[in-house]
Amino acid sequence: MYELLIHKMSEWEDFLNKSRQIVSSGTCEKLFDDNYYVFDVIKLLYKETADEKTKLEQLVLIEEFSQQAGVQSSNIDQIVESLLDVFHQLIKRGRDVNVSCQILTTLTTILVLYDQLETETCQSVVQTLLAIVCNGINMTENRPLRSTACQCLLQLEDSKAGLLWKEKDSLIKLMRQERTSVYEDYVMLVTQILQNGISAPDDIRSEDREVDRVVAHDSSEYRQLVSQIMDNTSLFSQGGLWHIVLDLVNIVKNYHEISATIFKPMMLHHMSTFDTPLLHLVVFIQNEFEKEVLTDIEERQLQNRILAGLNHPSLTPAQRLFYCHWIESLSNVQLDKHESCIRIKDDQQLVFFPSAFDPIDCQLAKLALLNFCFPSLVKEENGQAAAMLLGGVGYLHKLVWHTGSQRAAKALFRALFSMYRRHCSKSFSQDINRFLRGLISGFPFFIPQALDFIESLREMTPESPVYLEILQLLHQQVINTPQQQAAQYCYFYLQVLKRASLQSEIVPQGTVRFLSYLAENSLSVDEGSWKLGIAILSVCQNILVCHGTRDLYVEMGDLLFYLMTHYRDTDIRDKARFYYMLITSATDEKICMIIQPTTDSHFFHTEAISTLLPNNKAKGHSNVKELEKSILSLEKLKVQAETYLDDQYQDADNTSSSICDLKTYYSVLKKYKTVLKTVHRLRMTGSPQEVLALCVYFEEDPNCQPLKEIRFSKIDAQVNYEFDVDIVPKIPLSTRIVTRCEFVDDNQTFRCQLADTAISTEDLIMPLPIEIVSTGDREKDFHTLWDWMEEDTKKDGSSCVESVTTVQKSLEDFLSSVRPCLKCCQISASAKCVKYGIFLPPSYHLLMKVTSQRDYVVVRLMTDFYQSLLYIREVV
Amino acid sequence: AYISLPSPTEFSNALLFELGFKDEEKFIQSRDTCQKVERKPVFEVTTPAGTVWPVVVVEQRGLLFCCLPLVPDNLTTSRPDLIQIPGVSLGFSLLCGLTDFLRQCPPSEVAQRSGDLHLYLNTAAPFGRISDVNCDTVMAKMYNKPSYLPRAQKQPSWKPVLHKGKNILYLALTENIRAIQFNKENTADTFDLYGSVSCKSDLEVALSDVTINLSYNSPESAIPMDNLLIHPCVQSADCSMLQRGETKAAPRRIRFTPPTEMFTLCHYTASGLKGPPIKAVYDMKMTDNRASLTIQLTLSDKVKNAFEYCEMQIPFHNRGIISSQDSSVSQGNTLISPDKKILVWNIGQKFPKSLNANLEATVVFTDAKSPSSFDDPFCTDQNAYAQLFFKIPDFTHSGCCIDSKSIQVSPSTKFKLNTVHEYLSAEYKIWNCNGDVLSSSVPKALLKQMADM
Repeated sequence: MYELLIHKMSEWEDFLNKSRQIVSSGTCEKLFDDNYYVFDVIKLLYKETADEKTKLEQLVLIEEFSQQAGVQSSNIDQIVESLLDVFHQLIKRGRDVNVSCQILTTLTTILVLYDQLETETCQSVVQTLLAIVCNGINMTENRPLRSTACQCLLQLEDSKAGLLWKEKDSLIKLMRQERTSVYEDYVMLVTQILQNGISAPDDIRSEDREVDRVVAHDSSEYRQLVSQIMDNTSLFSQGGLWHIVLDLVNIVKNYHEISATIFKPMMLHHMSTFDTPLLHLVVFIQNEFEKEVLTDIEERQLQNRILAGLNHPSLTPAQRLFYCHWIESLSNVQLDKHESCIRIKDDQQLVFFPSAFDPIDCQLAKLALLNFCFPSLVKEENGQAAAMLLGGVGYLHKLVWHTGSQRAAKALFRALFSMYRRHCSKSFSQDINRFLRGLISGFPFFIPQALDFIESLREMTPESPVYLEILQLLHQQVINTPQQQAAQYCYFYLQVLKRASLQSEIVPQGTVRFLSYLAENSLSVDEGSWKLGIAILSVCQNILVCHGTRDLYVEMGDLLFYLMTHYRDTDIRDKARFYYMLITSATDEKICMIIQPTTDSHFFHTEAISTLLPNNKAKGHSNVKELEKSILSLEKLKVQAETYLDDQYQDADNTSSSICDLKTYYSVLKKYKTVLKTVHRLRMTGSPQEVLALCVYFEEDPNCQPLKEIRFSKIDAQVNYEFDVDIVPKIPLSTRIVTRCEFVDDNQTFRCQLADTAISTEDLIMPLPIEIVSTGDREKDFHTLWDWMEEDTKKDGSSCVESVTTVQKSLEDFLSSVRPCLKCCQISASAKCVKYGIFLPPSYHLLMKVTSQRDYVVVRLMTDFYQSLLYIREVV
Repeated sequence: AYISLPSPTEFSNALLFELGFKDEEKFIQSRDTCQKVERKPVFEVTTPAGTVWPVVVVEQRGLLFCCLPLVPDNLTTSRPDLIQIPGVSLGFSLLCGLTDFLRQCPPSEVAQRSGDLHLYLNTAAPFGRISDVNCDTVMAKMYNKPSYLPRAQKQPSWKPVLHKGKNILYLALTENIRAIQFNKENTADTFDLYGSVSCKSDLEVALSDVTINLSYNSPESAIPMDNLLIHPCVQSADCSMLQRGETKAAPRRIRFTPPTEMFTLCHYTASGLKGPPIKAVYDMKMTDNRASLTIQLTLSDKVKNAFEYCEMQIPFHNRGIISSQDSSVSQGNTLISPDKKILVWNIGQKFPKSLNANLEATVVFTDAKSPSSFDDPFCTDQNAYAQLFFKIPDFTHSGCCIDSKSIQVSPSTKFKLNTVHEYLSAEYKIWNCNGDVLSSSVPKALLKQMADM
């Protein structure tokens, strides 16, 4: 493929553009249809005509997606050798340095990824890399190559500790000699080897017994080496320094002859840096060697530096957020734990006080720390700290109050919660109450945040009365809201009412009045939507369960009656009827047994109804009683088969013009779904007069897909109930689906069997559903299909069969006696011949050619579902 | 716990959701609950495959840059403290470097530079191991810019290219003032004086050491520098922080080995400033579509009265455009911005002898609001602020300066020295004294009590 494309550069560029698009869209696997992509890339690398950028791009792809590109454990040797060969050729020619470097990187990645570090191939790569590292010391032209080789060796050593231990002396020597900017790479490599040798000697010793001896004997040399490296820290870039110091930290931890104080000069120097990684490094070492490196005074200096940096106008907000994390860590404070405390002087506390210059994130981070400057305020007498803390949220509060910004509100609630978590005093809760009331009156859309806040408070201090106090206030506020506003923000208010209605301490009369207003104005509030209805009912449900009906029988009854008679949505009317029936005919205790409180609207349906029904046995329900004789009759009234394009293919191009053979025809057919739409009638045949919460459910049947159960909140003895069941056949064979029902009567669940839901052969006989090769010409389609199936019968393993049978009837008699279902499938009829094209859902066929003989007819059958030959006689 | 990386689409969708770019206006408990402790710029991103942490995110010019630092596997907890993860701050700096690298490239063309991006990342972070985060250095390494080698010294990794050409040393001391003036009894005005020294060293001396002194024109009246933060190339510096109550303005000596590119040598703050350089009162009353306002400015006598420019902008957010204005000024002239949302008062180069300047104006707006993305949502009704922009060349408010006579270069060489001093306003806001203001305030009594401690 590449051979061709390289000669035609424009095509090659097209391909590249396409591959770049695929890469940028994140669907790289599409690139690698060809299992040998990697070899094509290697061919490309040999070509001088391909530019450096292209070669780099392809090598990077191989590095990132080696597995998909065809790299396998079995061909790694071949790939690595080829890449090395390309590399040597490029070096010889002294060009494409970046490609050479990328080849080394790709090679190393492949070796590590496929765990080939103990192979001869790896050894050969290591030797190549060492040769690069050793040659050309102090030359500036080959710096990228030597730097890359060092990094590759480092990666290999990192993946297999001890791999380069034998080379350490020569590498140390090289490191000392090197003076160009790649000195850092040599140091990184050496410290990694030493660190591996010293911190994990057991692993290495197993391979090289000399190691222990070397470490023990050369202790002074190691000390000298480490101090030499630490003397040169000013030469390293931030990243390099981090890695070198990390290695040295591990060496110091494992090699007690070297003291952690070697880090002290560097720490003292970089304490005043404005570079984030370097200050992080100082803080990291302080964290690792607390009290070992810095004196108390120096530790305080470090703390003061960080505290001062927190408000330094020259630092970016993100940098200052890092400072906040470090203060937290150095002070051993955990923001989600309330025991710890930041120990700073009282006059330094103000550094945490948010400034008008601070963006929202910094305000929040500083407030979180300000909390920890004070011990818990529960016992505070003068209220100073509380005043400072509450003053600190002023900016966020005003921002929320004047802008209604969600982002600011999120920060504000988090700030308040972190305050409350640490200082849950009474005065605090009063302030928070006032704040929440004010906020909700101005911005009802913050109700979800406010509820999350008080729920979080309750979770934290379950015994505290704060939750109830605040909820009571919010409830009061909601039920006293002017009607127009109530309509506008009803869903937010309903969330408050739902929670308030769960509290027996909060009187529900106001809630019911509010709900009644919403119900009566449901059309104007939200067009009488299901969503509004279900939200109202969920509050009703909570009231019924938690408050009973004694005190608001009339009000609740009126509300439910209104909903069941006037509400626009049928489902809501049914559900309201169910509740109405409950409050008019059941005691409070029974109601509590039947329904449970809701906490979230989308669980409403499940909790309200399903708890009563099969497959979901709620706690506290009585056992199910099996009835020997059914008190209900089930009757199938109608079946209508429908074939339609499945939802998942709705947007695709589904024209039949492309059907050219049996295979494509089947693939098109697969996109269609056939459903037997059945209508059933259910009625009660015996006592009692009514049952509740009835569920009709169907046993699983191998011939069709599982059927959904049907639920009724109530069944009356005098009423016939019709319902639809959609049956999707899996194979075209008649069956009888076992059907049962469960219902509740007088607080007892009963189960009984109903008449089976039958699928007959006739139900499964349908006309051909889609046009195959022509529009409107069914006969042509019939013949095409016949020919294809006939052709298919000649193939091995074909599912198509042909058969011939005779019926002792004249053609005229035959035509008059066939079942109506077959008549629908008639393709054509002449004096001599009649043709039927039968579709057997989900995807089978039976084609019939009936020709007249003297006093009988010959029926030629072609089918891809041989079992149909067994039952066809039923319909002819 | 470890999870394999989600697909780029899954990840980017989850990240946008976590950052609030998706479903911003909805309260989604898992994301928005008040119990969540933020660790910005480090995020936890929930994807269908599991939770990805720690994701470092930097936003720049409408692009999100993110990386997933390696959490060392020798740590005892699966969710260690950020302090224990080197990749967090290194990753942050790498992303900042990347934003510099792509700064010249419009966001729509970033994808086309993916080839360069790989080369950049392979140089800056080979095998994901971050070694260099400075964009200039990384690019010099990427293209292996030719350089000679110093004879005896080792060449720093952050200076892969040494200068060859004329010897010029450029040093600029830029001092900034940011201030927010409320003119309210219970809310103290706030202001910060701070500065930085920038340097571009084109010296043909391999690995030269440069020593400079930051001193004061008049140490007695100077505002002392404090909280000196230095560049990593600094070899030694007088960085000590002022003790409480210390007002002596002592010079600061800094010795450094300058990198090749332009860089910021140090930042400092100046503590002890008694008042803002220009005291301002903004009194604005809004009735219907008409704003009547006065602004009084008083220049501090400690400030050099010779501006390169001095301009006050009085924006009117969240209302119609300015249909007419009638103003009288004691100094300078007024005009309306092209978008007709801002009244601009050009004060000129010099305040009068009285050091006071006044503006009185009546501004009338059109009825229809003309929303703009620059509208500050806080500024409704009487909530409003004006902003001051000025620059004074050859002056610093603190009195701090680069002592050009004492500059030393080692090894000794001749060079041309360019020094610049300037004083600039940064965020300089004056809130309308009739409206609400955006601030948190410590009760004044408490402040006094703390100051007395």
